[in-house]
Amino acid sequence: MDLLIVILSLVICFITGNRIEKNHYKNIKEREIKLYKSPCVTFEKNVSNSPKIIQSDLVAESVVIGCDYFKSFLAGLKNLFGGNVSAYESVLDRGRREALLRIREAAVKKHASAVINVKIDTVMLDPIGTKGHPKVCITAYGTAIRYGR
Amino acid sequence: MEDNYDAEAARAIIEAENVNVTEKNPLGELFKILSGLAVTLVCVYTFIFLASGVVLQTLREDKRTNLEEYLTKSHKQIPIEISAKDRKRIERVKNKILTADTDFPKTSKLEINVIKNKDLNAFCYPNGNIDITEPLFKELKTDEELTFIIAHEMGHYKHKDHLMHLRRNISNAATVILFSVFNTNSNINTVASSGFELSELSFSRQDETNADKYAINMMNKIYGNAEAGIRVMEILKEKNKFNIEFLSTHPDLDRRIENIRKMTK
Repeated sequence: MDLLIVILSLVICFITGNRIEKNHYKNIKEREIKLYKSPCVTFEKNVSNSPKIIQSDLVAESVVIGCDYFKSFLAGLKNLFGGNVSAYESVLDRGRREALLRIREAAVKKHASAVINVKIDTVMLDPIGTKGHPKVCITAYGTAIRYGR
Repeated sequence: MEDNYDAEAARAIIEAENVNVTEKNPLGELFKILSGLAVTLVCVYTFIFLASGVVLQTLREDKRTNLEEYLTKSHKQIPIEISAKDRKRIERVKNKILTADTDFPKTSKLEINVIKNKDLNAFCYPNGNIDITEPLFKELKTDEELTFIIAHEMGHYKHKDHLMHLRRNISNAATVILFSVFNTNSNINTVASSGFELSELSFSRQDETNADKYAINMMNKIYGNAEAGIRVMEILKEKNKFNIEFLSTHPDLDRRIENIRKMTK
Protein backbone atom coordinates (compact mmCIF):
# COMPACT_ATOMS: atom_id res chain seq x y z
CA MET A 1 0.00 0.00 0.00
CA ASP A 2 2.83 2.37 0.97
CA LEU A 3 4.57 1.56 -2.29
CA LEU A 4 1.41 2.37 -4.23
CA ILE A 5 1.10 5.77 -2.52
CA VAL A 6 4.75 6.59 -3.26
CA ILE A 7 4.42 5.58 -6.93
CA LEU A 8 1.17 7.47 -7.36
CA SER A 9 2.57 10.65 -5.81
CA LEU A 10 5.69 10.33 -7.95
CA VAL A 11 3.63 10.14 -11.13
CA ILE A 12 1.37 13.03 -10.13
CA CYS A 13 4.27 15.22 -8.99
CA PHE A 14 6.28 14.43 -12.10
CA ILE A 15 3.45 15.64 -14.34
CA THR A 16 2.50 18.72 -12.30
CA GLY A 17 6.11 19.63 -11.50
CA ASN A 18 7.09 19.44 -15.15
CA ARG A 19 4.16 21.59 -16.16
CA ILE A 20 4.87 24.23 -13.50
CA GLU A 21 8.55 24.33 -14.47
CA LYS A 22 7.73 24.72 -18.15
CA ASN A 23 5.31 27.57 -17.45
CA HIS A 24 7.79 29.27 -15.15
CA TYR A 25 10.56 29.08 -17.76
CA LYS A 26 8.22 30.46 -20.39
CA ASN A 27 7.31 33.34 -18.11
CA ILE A 28 10.98 34.03 -17.22
CA LYS A 29 12.04 34.01 -20.87
CA GLU A 30 9.29 36.42 -21.89
CA ARG A 31 10.24 38.85 -19.16
CA GLU A 32 13.95 38.53 -19.97
CA ILE A 33 13.29 39.35 -23.60
CA LYS A 34 11.28 42.38 -22.55
CA LEU A 35 14.09 43.64 -20.30
CA TYR A 36 16.86 42.56 -22.66
CA LYS A 37 18.53 45.93 -23.15
CA SER A 38 17.67 47.85 -20.07
CA PRO A 39 18.35 47.98 -17.25
CA CYS A 40 21.60 46.13 -17.54
CA VAL A 41 22.92 44.20 -14.62
CA THR A 42 26.55 44.11 -13.62
CA PHE A 43 28.47 42.51 -10.79
CA GLU A 44 31.07 45.30 -10.97
CA LYS A 45 31.23 48.12 -8.46
CA ASN A 46 31.86 50.83 -11.04
CA VAL A 47 30.93 51.15 -14.62
CA SER A 48 33.91 52.61 -16.38
CA ASN A 49 33.47 55.58 -18.71
CA SER A 50 30.05 56.13 -17.26
CA PRO A 51 28.34 59.48 -17.41
CA LYS A 52 27.40 61.26 -14.24
CA ILE A 53 25.14 59.29 -11.90
CA ILE A 54 22.21 61.40 -10.74
CA GLN A 55 20.32 58.87 -8.66
CA SER A 56 21.12 55.61 -6.83
CA ASP A 57 18.82 53.27 -4.94
CA LEU A 58 19.06 49.90 -3.25
CA VAL A 59 17.08 47.18 -4.95
CA ALA A 60 16.72 43.88 -3.09
CA GLU A 61 14.30 41.11 -4.00
CA SER A 62 14.04 37.53 -2.88
CA VAL A 63 12.44 34.40 -4.22
CA VAL A 64 11.57 31.27 -2.29
CA ILE A 65 11.49 28.27 -4.54
CA GLY A 66 10.81 24.66 -3.64
CA CYS A 67 11.18 21.50 -5.62
CA ASP A 68 8.51 18.92 -6.22
CA TYR A 69 8.30 15.44 -4.72
CA PHE A 70 9.62 13.75 -7.84
CA LYS A 71 12.70 15.96 -7.94
CA SER A 72 13.52 15.53 -4.27
CA PHE A 73 12.98 11.78 -4.58
CA LEU A 74 15.34 11.61 -7.53
CA ALA A 75 17.87 13.84 -5.79
CA GLY A 76 17.62 11.72 -2.63
CA LEU A 77 18.43 8.61 -4.65
CA LYS A 78 21.25 10.39 -6.43
CA ASN A 79 22.64 11.46 -3.06
CA LEU A 80 23.19 7.83 -2.19
CA PHE A 81 25.62 7.26 -5.04
CA GLY A 82 26.87 10.82 -5.47
CA GLY A 83 27.37 12.76 -8.67
CA ASN A 84 25.78 15.65 -10.45
CA VAL A 85 22.34 16.22 -8.94
CA SER A 86 20.77 17.59 -12.09
CA ALA A 87 17.27 17.48 -10.60
CA TYR A 88 18.03 20.49 -8.39
CA GLU A 89 19.85 22.48 -11.09
CA SER A 90 16.77 23.68 -12.87
CA VAL A 91 15.17 24.72 -9.57
CA LEU A 92 18.17 26.84 -8.61
CA ASP A 93 18.46 28.25 -12.12
CA ARG A 94 14.81 29.31 -12.07
CA GLY A 95 15.27 30.87 -8.64
CA ARG A 96 18.32 32.89 -9.64
CA ARG A 97 16.81 34.14 -12.87
CA GLU A 98 13.56 35.04 -11.15
CA ALA A 99 15.42 36.98 -8.42
CA LEU A 100 17.48 38.87 -11.01
CA LEU A 101 14.36 39.66 -13.01
CA ARG A 102 12.68 41.00 -9.89
CA ILE A 103 15.50 43.48 -9.13
CA ARG A 104 15.54 44.56 -12.76
CA GLU A 105 11.81 45.14 -12.66
CA ALA A 106 12.21 47.09 -9.42
CA ALA A 107 14.94 49.16 -11.09
CA VAL A 108 12.67 49.91 -14.04
CA LYS A 109 10.07 51.24 -11.61
CA LYS A 110 12.74 53.58 -10.21
CA HIS A 111 13.60 54.71 -13.79
CA ALA A 112 17.12 53.35 -13.35
CA SER A 113 19.24 52.50 -16.36
CA ALA A 114 21.50 49.94 -14.69
CA VAL A 115 21.89 47.85 -11.57
CA ILE A 116 25.49 47.67 -10.40
CA ASN A 117 27.31 45.71 -7.69
CA VAL A 118 24.78 42.91 -7.80
CA LYS A 119 25.07 40.04 -5.32
CA ILE A 120 23.10 36.81 -5.16
CA ASP A 121 22.67 34.96 -1.87
CA THR A 122 21.17 31.52 -1.43
CA VAL A 123 19.81 30.26 1.85
CA MET A 124 18.55 26.74 2.43
CA LEU A 125 15.22 26.97 4.25
CA ASP A 126 14.63 23.27 4.73
CA PRO A 127 17.89 21.35 4.66
CA ILE A 128 17.90 17.83 3.26
CA GLY A 129 17.51 15.31 6.01
CA THR A 130 14.81 17.20 7.86
CA LYS A 131 11.22 16.48 7.08
CA GLY A 132 9.70 18.05 4.02
CA HIS A 133 11.19 18.89 0.69
CA PRO A 134 14.11 21.24 0.27
CA LYS A 135 13.31 24.85 -0.52
CA VAL A 136 15.72 27.70 -1.06
CA CYS A 137 15.44 31.42 -0.58
CA ILE A 138 17.42 33.27 -3.24
CA THR A 139 18.04 36.97 -2.63
CA ALA A 140 19.45 39.30 -5.24
CA TYR A 141 20.43 42.85 -4.36
CA GLY A 142 22.27 45.68 -5.96
CA THR A 143 22.37 49.42 -6.56
CA ALA A 144 20.02 50.78 -9.16
CA ILE A 145 21.56 53.85 -10.76
CA ARG A 146 20.34 56.50 -13.15
CA TYR A 147 22.69 58.38 -15.44
CA GLY A 148 22.40 62.07 -16.11
CA ARG A 149 21.91 63.11 -19.74
CA MET B 1 13.40 51.11 -24.19
CA GLU B 2 16.29 51.85 -26.51
CA ASP B 3 15.92 52.15 -30.25
CA ASN B 4 18.34 49.41 -31.22
CA TYR B 5 16.34 46.83 -29.31
CA ASP B 6 16.09 43.73 -31.42
CA ALA B 7 13.53 41.31 -29.99
CA GLU B 8 14.49 38.51 -32.35
CA ALA B 9 18.18 38.64 -31.45
CA ALA B 10 17.28 38.79 -27.74
CA ARG B 11 15.02 35.77 -28.09
CA ALA B 12 17.75 33.78 -29.86
CA ILE B 13 20.21 34.46 -27.04
CA ILE B 14 17.76 33.76 -24.23
CA GLU B 15 16.31 30.64 -25.82
CA ALA B 16 19.79 29.20 -26.39
CA GLU B 17 20.99 26.26 -24.36
CA ASN B 18 21.12 26.90 -20.64
CA VAL B 19 24.56 26.02 -19.32
CA ASN B 20 23.38 25.99 -15.71
CA VAL B 21 21.02 23.10 -16.24
CA THR B 22 22.19 19.67 -17.39
CA GLU B 23 19.92 18.33 -20.08
CA LYS B 24 18.97 14.91 -18.78
CA ASN B 25 15.85 12.85 -19.05
CA PRO B 26 14.68 12.64 -15.41
CA LEU B 27 12.75 9.40 -16.02
CA GLY B 28 15.77 7.73 -17.58
CA GLU B 29 17.92 8.89 -14.69
CA LEU B 30 15.39 7.59 -12.17
CA PHE B 31 15.33 4.21 -13.90
CA LYS B 32 19.11 4.03 -13.96
CA ILE B 33 19.48 4.86 -10.27
CA LEU B 34 16.65 2.54 -9.22
CA SER B 35 18.17 -0.40 -11.06
CA GLY B 36 21.55 0.33 -9.49
CA LEU B 37 19.87 0.46 -6.12
CA ALA B 38 18.03 -2.81 -6.72
CA VAL B 39 21.27 -4.58 -7.60
CA THR B 40 22.96 -3.23 -4.45
CA LEU B 41 20.03 -4.28 -2.25
CA VAL B 42 19.89 -7.76 -3.74
CA CYS B 43 23.64 -8.21 -3.16
CA VAL B 44 23.43 -7.09 0.48
CA TYR B 45 20.31 -9.20 1.05
CA THR B 46 21.85 -12.33 -0.48
CA PHE B 47 24.99 -11.92 1.59
CA ILE B 48 23.06 -11.61 4.88
CA PHE B 49 20.72 -14.45 3.88
CA LEU B 50 23.60 -16.82 3.16
CA ALA B 51 25.46 -15.75 6.30
CA SER B 52 22.41 -16.36 8.51
CA GLY B 53 22.00 -19.78 6.87
CA VAL B 54 25.55 -20.70 7.82
CA VAL B 55 24.96 -19.52 11.40
CA LEU B 56 21.72 -21.53 11.73
CA GLN B 57 23.34 -24.64 10.27
CA THR B 58 26.24 -24.56 12.71
CA LEU B 59 23.79 -24.18 15.62
CA ARG B 60 23.58 -27.29 17.82
CA GLU B 61 20.29 -29.18 17.95
CA ASP B 62 19.47 -28.11 21.53
CA LYS B 63 20.35 -24.48 20.81
CA ARG B 64 18.06 -24.53 17.80
CA THR B 65 15.24 -25.99 19.88
CA ASN B 66 15.77 -23.19 22.40
CA LEU B 67 15.60 -20.63 19.59
CA GLU B 68 12.39 -22.19 18.30
CA GLU B 69 10.88 -22.10 21.81
CA TYR B 70 11.88 -18.47 22.15
CA LEU B 71 10.30 -17.55 18.81
CA THR B 72 7.11 -19.37 19.77
CA LYS B 73 6.76 -17.65 23.13
CA SER B 74 6.00 -14.22 21.70
CA HIS B 75 3.17 -15.51 19.50
CA LYS B 76 1.62 -18.04 21.89
CA GLN B 77 -2.17 -17.86 22.12
CA ILE B 78 -4.29 -19.30 24.90
CA PRO B 79 -6.07 -22.48 23.76
CA ILE B 80 -9.73 -23.08 24.52
CA GLU B 81 -11.12 -26.18 26.23
CA ILE B 82 -12.34 -28.85 23.85
CA SER B 83 -14.29 -32.00 24.61
CA ALA B 84 -12.49 -35.28 25.34
CA LYS B 85 -13.92 -36.67 22.10
CA ASP B 86 -12.43 -33.88 20.02
CA ARG B 87 -9.11 -34.25 21.84
CA LYS B 88 -9.06 -37.95 21.04
CA ARG B 89 -9.90 -37.21 17.42
CA ILE B 90 -6.98 -34.81 17.12
CA GLU B 91 -4.57 -37.30 18.73
CA ARG B 92 -5.82 -40.06 16.45
CA VAL B 93 -5.22 -37.96 13.34
CA LYS B 94 -1.80 -36.85 14.58
CA ASN B 95 -0.71 -40.44 15.22
CA LYS B 96 -1.94 -41.50 11.80
CA ILE B 97 0.28 -38.87 10.15
CA LEU B 98 3.27 -39.74 12.36
CA THR B 99 2.89 -43.42 11.47
CA ALA B 100 2.70 -42.57 7.78
CA ASP B 101 5.75 -40.28 7.93
CA THR B 102 8.50 -42.00 9.90
CA ASP B 103 11.05 -39.27 9.03
CA PHE B 104 9.17 -36.51 10.84
CA PRO B 105 11.64 -34.56 13.04
CA LYS B 106 11.55 -35.82 16.63
CA THR B 107 12.41 -32.41 18.08
CA SER B 108 8.87 -31.23 17.54
CA LYS B 109 6.53 -31.06 20.54
CA LEU B 110 3.54 -31.24 18.21
CA GLU B 111 0.88 -30.04 20.64
CA ILE B 112 -2.29 -29.38 18.70
CA ASN B 113 -4.71 -26.84 20.20
CA VAL B 114 -7.86 -25.03 19.22
CA ILE B 115 -7.87 -21.27 19.76
CA LYS B 116 -10.54 -18.62 19.80
CA ASN B 117 -10.43 -16.51 16.66
CA LYS B 118 -13.01 -15.38 14.14
CA ASP B 119 -10.98 -16.38 11.05
CA LEU B 120 -10.74 -19.78 9.41
CA ASN B 121 -7.09 -20.52 9.85
CA ALA B 122 -4.44 -22.82 11.27
CA PHE B 123 -0.82 -22.05 12.09
CA CYS B 124 2.33 -23.92 12.87
CA TYR B 125 4.67 -22.40 15.47
CA PRO B 126 8.45 -22.55 15.21
CA ASN B 127 8.57 -25.29 17.90
CA GLY B 128 6.11 -27.48 15.96
CA ASN B 129 2.96 -26.70 17.95
CA ILE B 130 -0.13 -26.27 15.83
CA ASP B 131 -3.13 -24.03 16.51
CA ILE B 132 -6.42 -24.40 14.69
CA THR B 133 -9.00 -21.65 15.00
CA GLU B 134 -12.37 -22.60 16.47
CA PRO B 135 -14.50 -21.81 13.35
CA LEU B 136 -12.21 -23.89 11.12
CA PHE B 137 -12.18 -26.77 13.58
CA LYS B 138 -15.98 -26.77 13.60
CA GLU B 139 -16.08 -26.82 9.80
CA LEU B 140 -13.86 -29.90 9.60
CA LYS B 141 -16.49 -32.60 9.88
CA THR B 142 -14.45 -35.68 8.91
CA ASP B 143 -11.11 -37.07 10.03
CA GLU B 144 -9.83 -36.80 6.47
CA GLU B 145 -10.37 -33.05 6.40
CA LEU B 146 -8.70 -32.61 9.77
CA THR B 147 -5.80 -34.76 8.57
CA PHE B 148 -5.31 -32.47 5.58
CA ILE B 149 -5.10 -29.35 7.74
CA ILE B 150 -2.80 -30.90 10.37
CA ALA B 151 -0.59 -32.52 7.74
CA HIS B 152 -0.32 -29.17 5.91
CA GLU B 153 0.90 -27.45 9.09
CA MET B 154 3.23 -30.34 9.94
CA GLY B 155 4.59 -29.96 6.42
CA HIS B 156 5.63 -26.39 7.29
CA TYR B 157 7.56 -27.71 10.30
CA LYS B 158 9.14 -30.54 8.36
CA HIS B 159 10.30 -28.22 5.58
CA LYS B 160 11.78 -25.87 8.25
CA ASP B 161 9.77 -23.01 6.80
CA HIS B 162 9.95 -21.16 10.11
CA LEU B 163 13.76 -21.07 9.94
CA MET B 164 13.71 -19.89 6.32
CA HIS B 165 11.16 -17.28 7.29
CA LEU B 166 13.42 -16.18 10.14
CA ARG B 167 16.38 -15.91 7.79
CA ARG B 168 14.40 -13.89 5.28
CA ASN B 169 13.10 -11.60 8.01
CA ILE B 170 16.59 -11.05 9.41
CA SER B 171 17.94 -10.28 5.93
CA ASN B 172 15.05 -7.92 5.14
CA ALA B 173 15.39 -6.05 8.41
CA ALA B 174 19.18 -5.86 8.28
CA THR B 175 19.19 -4.61 4.69
CA VAL B 176 16.56 -1.96 5.35
CA ILE B 177 18.30 -0.80 8.55
CA LEU B 178 21.71 -0.69 6.85
CA PHE B 179 20.15 1.22 4.03
CA SER B 180 18.42 3.74 6.28
CA VAL B 181 21.72 4.48 8.04
CA PHE B 182 23.13 5.83 4.77
CA ASN B 183 19.95 7.38 3.59
CA THR B 184 17.56 9.53 5.57
CA ASN B 185 14.94 9.82 2.87
CA SER B 186 12.07 7.81 4.33
CA ASN B 187 10.24 7.50 1.00
CA ILE B 188 13.11 5.57 -0.52
CA ASN B 189 13.17 3.29 2.51
CA THR B 190 9.45 2.71 1.99
CA VAL B 191 10.07 1.66 -1.59
CA ALA B 192 12.87 -0.71 -0.55
CA SER B 193 10.90 -2.34 2.26
CA SER B 194 7.78 -2.67 0.09
CA GLY B 195 9.83 -4.55 -2.46
CA PHE B 196 10.97 -6.92 0.28
CA GLU B 197 7.40 -7.40 1.51
CA LEU B 198 6.28 -8.43 -1.97
CA SER B 199 9.18 -10.86 -2.32
CA GLU B 200 8.41 -12.27 1.14
CA LEU B 201 4.80 -12.88 0.05
CA SER B 202 5.98 -14.74 -3.01
CA PHE B 203 8.26 -16.96 -0.85
CA SER B 204 5.38 -17.51 1.55
CA ARG B 205 3.15 -18.73 -1.30
CA GLN B 206 5.88 -21.14 -2.37
CA ASP B 207 6.06 -22.49 1.21
CA GLU B 208 2.30 -23.00 1.24
CA THR B 209 2.41 -24.89 -2.04
CA ASN B 210 5.13 -27.19 -0.65
CA ALA B 211 3.17 -27.76 2.56
CA ASP B 212 0.12 -28.64 0.43
CA LYS B 213 2.20 -31.17 -1.46
CA TYR B 214 3.32 -32.75 1.79
CA ALA B 215 -0.29 -32.92 3.02
CA ILE B 216 -1.45 -34.52 -0.25
CA ASN B 217 1.30 -37.15 -0.01
CA MET B 218 0.28 -37.97 3.55
CA MET B 219 -3.40 -38.18 2.52
CA ASN B 220 -2.49 -40.50 -0.33
CA LYS B 221 -0.48 -42.70 2.05
CA ILE B 222 -3.15 -42.84 4.78
CA TYR B 223 -6.45 -42.83 2.88
CA GLY B 224 -5.40 -43.62 -0.66
CA ASN B 225 -6.66 -40.26 -1.99
CA ALA B 226 -6.67 -36.54 -1.16
CA GLU B 227 -10.29 -35.74 -1.98
CA ALA B 228 -10.77 -34.27 1.51
CA GLY B 229 -8.22 -31.60 0.66
CA ILE B 230 -10.49 -30.32 -2.10
CA ARG B 231 -13.40 -30.18 0.36
CA VAL B 232 -11.26 -28.14 2.80
CA MET B 233 -10.36 -25.70 0.01
CA GLU B 234 -14.03 -25.39 -0.93
CA ILE B 235 -14.83 -24.46 2.67
CA LEU B 236 -12.07 -21.82 2.68
CA LYS B 237 -13.17 -20.52 -0.71
CA GLU B 238 -16.72 -20.02 0.51
CA LYS B 239 -15.49 -17.81 3.37
CA ASN B 240 -12.82 -15.84 1.46
CA LYS B 241 -14.56 -14.30 -1.50
CA PHE B 242 -11.97 -11.64 -2.28
CA ASN B 243 -8.40 -12.63 -2.80
CA ILE B 244 -5.68 -11.02 -4.88
CA GLU B 245 -2.89 -13.55 -5.24
CA PHE B 246 -0.16 -10.97 -5.83
CA LEU B 247 -0.76 -9.43 -2.37
CA SER B 248 -1.53 -12.58 -0.44
CA THR B 249 0.46 -15.00 1.74
CA HIS B 250 -1.32 -18.03 0.30
CA PRO B 251 -1.68 -19.10 -3.34
CA ASP B 252 -4.99 -18.74 -5.09
CA LEU B 253 -7.45 -21.35 -3.77
CA ASP B 254 -8.44 -22.50 -7.27
CA ARG B 255 -4.80 -23.18 -8.02
CA ARG B 256 -4.45 -25.13 -4.77
CA ILE B 257 -7.51 -27.24 -5.65
CA GLU B 258 -6.03 -27.88 -9.08
CA ASN B 259 -2.77 -29.03 -7.48
CA ILE B 260 -4.63 -31.44 -5.22
CA ARG B 261 -6.60 -32.84 -8.19
CA LYS B 262 -3.35 -33.39 -10.06
CA MET B 263 -1.62 -35.19 -7.19
CA THR B 264 -4.43 -37.23 -5.67
CA LYS B 265 -4.38 -40.90 -6.54
